[in-house]
Amino acid sequence: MRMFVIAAALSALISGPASAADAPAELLMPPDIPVTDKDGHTEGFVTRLRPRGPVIISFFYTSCESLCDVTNGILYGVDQIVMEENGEPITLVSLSIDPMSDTPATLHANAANFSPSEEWLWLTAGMRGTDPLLDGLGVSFDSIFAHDPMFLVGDFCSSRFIRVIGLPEPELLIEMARKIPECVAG
Amino acid sequence: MRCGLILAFLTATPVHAETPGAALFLHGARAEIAIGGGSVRLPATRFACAGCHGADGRGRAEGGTVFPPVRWSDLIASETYDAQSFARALTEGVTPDGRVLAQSMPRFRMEPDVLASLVDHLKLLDAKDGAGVTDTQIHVAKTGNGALDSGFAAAIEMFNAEGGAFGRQIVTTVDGAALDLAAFDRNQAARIETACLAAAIAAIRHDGYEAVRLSGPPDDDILYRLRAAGLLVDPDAKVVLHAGKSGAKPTATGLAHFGCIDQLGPFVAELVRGGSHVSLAVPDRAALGWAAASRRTADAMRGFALGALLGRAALTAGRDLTLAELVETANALPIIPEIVRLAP
Repeated sequence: MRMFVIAAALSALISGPASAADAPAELLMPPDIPVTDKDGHTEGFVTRLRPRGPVIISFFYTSCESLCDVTNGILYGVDQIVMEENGEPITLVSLSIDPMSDTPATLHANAANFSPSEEWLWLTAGMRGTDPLLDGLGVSFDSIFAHDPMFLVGDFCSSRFIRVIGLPEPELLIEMARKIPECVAG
Repeated sequence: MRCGLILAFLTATPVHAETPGAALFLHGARAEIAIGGGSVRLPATRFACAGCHGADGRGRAEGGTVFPPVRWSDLIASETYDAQSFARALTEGVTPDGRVLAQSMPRFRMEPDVLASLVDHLKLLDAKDGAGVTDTQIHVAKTGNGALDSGFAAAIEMFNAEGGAFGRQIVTTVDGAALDLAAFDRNQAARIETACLAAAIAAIRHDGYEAVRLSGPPDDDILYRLRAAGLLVDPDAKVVLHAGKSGAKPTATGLAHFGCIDQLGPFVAELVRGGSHVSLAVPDRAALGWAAASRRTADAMRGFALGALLGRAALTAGRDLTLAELVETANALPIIPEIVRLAP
């Protein structure tokens, strides 16, 4: 499998996840492309996520049997910890990179392995929307079989995101999400 | 990677009960994993060893992450592993030399009998290494479906006549380790169906239609795909999409019919005679050409396509080949159906 080609990858790899909490944010303004969740509900990606505050996004495909499940496993850890803390919610997004195979039904079946809370969204932008949405998030790859684990931590109010390449501990992602300033922009 | 299914492709010899070690290695059975520094615990069923290291244990790479080979010979060649130190590496992530394994390697928890059986399985991988592939041949077990096997034979005859791949020819066999063509066929059928459905929907959009009727009962997956493509479902539409499990003979004539050749093929002549336009999504144009020229059945055409796909995979996978890598490579090759138009 080949690599995601990501502008910020090198700096993130050099600094490593240990310092990711203080990494500089980048401005990401993806198009408001319709995305469908595991229950079949369709809404614009930005429209859906903008009011939800801190968001952690990861990328996967359902037939993947290697690192995708580790990244979703880390989101599972975040989901569990946030639920136990009973604090402010953090929205988690597992965004499919395989629109050909990943339909709401397959997303639903895959999500069931991780017993997600209602704060964890499993999304596909479909055949027409996936590439432009990934472009808008600064993510591209030669093949779905060729991606490195990556998380985006930020919010769609400020449109500022920190890119974490690798497999951070769930507590680090939570710390990063909790550091995002409250955004009140219209 | 899709290694969880791969064991099924790799043997034509009698199937024995899977050992606990093999079940863990291939399916993540009877174990739990910890990731994220130990704070996340999950069943290992989505974290089978083979998913990252390959069903052959030879190791793989994914993006910038390297999953090392884990056959027992590989482990003891690099560090002084024994059963005890292997258990520590697997459960605590610390190797005999004190090296801490990367976070991409989950920490496993399992009963001692499963662990012991896993060590046995890793040793067995050494013994099985290269099974079904020699310097000059790649062995494939026939399906028993005469038509499909004949199509496969025709395709590999052409592949072999053109020089094979890296000095190897694909040959069919009835005993010994070999790629199970029947299992390979079942696995590819799902990929082909998905690719053909997507191609048919894209063709409908390309032709400017905005609504379709379905040949069978609505299926959530198909409805989602149509909606995502911006198509409405209308029982009075002038376009019929043949997809899903209907298999029924189309009764509407004088319309435009779209669908995969596997489903729509048997009805094409009658539809065209009845005044319909038919657009067939064909996963392998060469296989269609061969089948049409030699008046073969749909099964034979499918066998031909499978042979051609394996040939492409053998050329793509490279010189240092195992059956597991061959199947993984075939699964990663894109299926891009062509649309064949037939008018009254």
